[in-house]
Amino acid sequence: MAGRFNDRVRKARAKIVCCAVLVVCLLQLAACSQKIEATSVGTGNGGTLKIGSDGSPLLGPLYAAAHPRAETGTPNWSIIRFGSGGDVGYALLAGKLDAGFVETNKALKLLQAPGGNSLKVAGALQFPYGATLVLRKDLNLRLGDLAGRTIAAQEPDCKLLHQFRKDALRAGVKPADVQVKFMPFDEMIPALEAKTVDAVLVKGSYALLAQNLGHKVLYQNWDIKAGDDCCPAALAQTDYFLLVRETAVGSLKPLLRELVATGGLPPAQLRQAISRQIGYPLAALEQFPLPTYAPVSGDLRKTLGERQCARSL
Amino acid sequence: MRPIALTVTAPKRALLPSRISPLLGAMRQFAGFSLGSLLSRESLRVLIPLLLLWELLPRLGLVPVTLLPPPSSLVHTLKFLLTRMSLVQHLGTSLLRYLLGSLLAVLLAVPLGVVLGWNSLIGRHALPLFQILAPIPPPAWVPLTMVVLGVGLPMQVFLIFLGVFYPVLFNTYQGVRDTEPRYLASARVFGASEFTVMVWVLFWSALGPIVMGLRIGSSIGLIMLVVAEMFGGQSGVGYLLLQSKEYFQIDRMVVCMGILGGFGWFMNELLKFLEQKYARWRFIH
Repeated sequence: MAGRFNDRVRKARAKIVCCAVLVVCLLQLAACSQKIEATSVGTGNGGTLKIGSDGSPLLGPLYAAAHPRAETGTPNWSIIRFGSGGDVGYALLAGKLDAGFVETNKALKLLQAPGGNSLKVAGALQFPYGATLVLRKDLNLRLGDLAGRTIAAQEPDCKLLHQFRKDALRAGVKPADVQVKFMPFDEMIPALEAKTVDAVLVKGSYALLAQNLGHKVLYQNWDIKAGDDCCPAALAQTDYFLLVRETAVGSLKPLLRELVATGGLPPAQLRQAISRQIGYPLAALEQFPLPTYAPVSGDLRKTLGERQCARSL
Repeated sequence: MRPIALTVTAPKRALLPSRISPLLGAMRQFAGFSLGSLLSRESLRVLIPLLLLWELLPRLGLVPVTLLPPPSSLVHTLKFLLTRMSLVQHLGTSLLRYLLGSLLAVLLAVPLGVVLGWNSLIGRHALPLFQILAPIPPPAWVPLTMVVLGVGLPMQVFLIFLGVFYPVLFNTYQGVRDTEPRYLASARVFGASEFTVMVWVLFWSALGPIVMGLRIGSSIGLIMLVVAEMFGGQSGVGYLLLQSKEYFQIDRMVVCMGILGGFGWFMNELLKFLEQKYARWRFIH
């Protein structure tokens, strides 16, 4: 009896092992076939251009341009998504991308980095500047309740802070009662998430990013123009630079034309493109203005220097 | 001359409290032990040519200086990080997170491992759960941890805890299972209670594997420290490393990597030293 039972157990074990091997083989096959498909997207059609992005909702014009339309046909370029603007930069340096959208501060550093001189600025993504106070998601306050709370601002002489203090005073909050911590815009949303501050005073584009994480907009003033002593308007107004490899400038012309053309699209279409591409809730997008693509302007050319910009396209 | 030298050194030693003196002795022993392995002829034969290559390749223009900054230029970067970027504060913050996570892991994993190894019934019931959870890569816990613990110190400590916990637990368990049965028999013959057996026989017998688990865990903990500081922290060496990476400051990135490597080496040497000091019988065999 025991011998027969052991035989059965041995056979069952052998079957389980065979099944496991089969499943592993099938998974491998599936993975290989997917890889072949992915490769053909990147290099097929005699050189599809690769455009790097970090999947930000601020890249609306890129997502709208990527959507095939009757008048333009299927684009000959594809969006390659990365985890951050820094990764897009490294891929550009490594020659794995033809162009990529990189945040302004990072792009400026990238242009100075080794190999950065082979990259040129071909355009900029801009978002209305504005002053926005974003309140941490777990707090439920009004502007008048801010006394004793800590907010983050960019710099003591920041235009946004001066404007906010004026507006807060009107709401009955003495500027001295609100503690201010200074940090770059990039660090403000992580600080909000880590609960080291109660609210952050950011320019418009960061408010869009913060709201996506569930934080609440407490105050907004869109009547502020970008640019002060610390940061020229051409840079302060820009959220992303489109960096292109010098050798690919010519072949990127259709993409650049498409990006410029997105400026004429109805806002609803642009919002839908963002929502479709990155799964951003459409309702949240409706509360904000939209990003726009602009080719390198004279101001930007002057600020960055002629060498850093792509020839007029 | 010799008697005079003795009279000079003797009062200095007498000034030290009796508790500090052995500590200083142990520190001296540790310095000799760790630097001895680093500065051995064998390791220098590998390290010196590598350092020379690292210095020369960028200087000769074979590798771009800014992509691989030579070690001599990193001294300036280190100075900059120390004076302008509050490196000491960042190090202190990282150390606090690392020690909290590691301590918590050791305090939980060692007693648990001893109990699982001591009682096979408990072991059979609880071990499969840990064996299922252990292979999950600690970074995969990040999203869930952020949801449950939020972003901040508790999340960071928990992620480091996860990195250290499993190696220590499984090594402790295995060490306890491998205890010589005659040690247990002897203790029981002399009337030792089960608690005494666990504390004075099983734990000490498993000390070698426990330290081995700690050595593995300390390396994984260091990886998790960097992962944890990438999320939500605005301080720590991992944060500095990530910021340097995002802003293409490769020299700063290399300095941070060097600091992490140096700290990992220090922890490994410290644990090796403790193993030699307190689990001496392993080396007698």
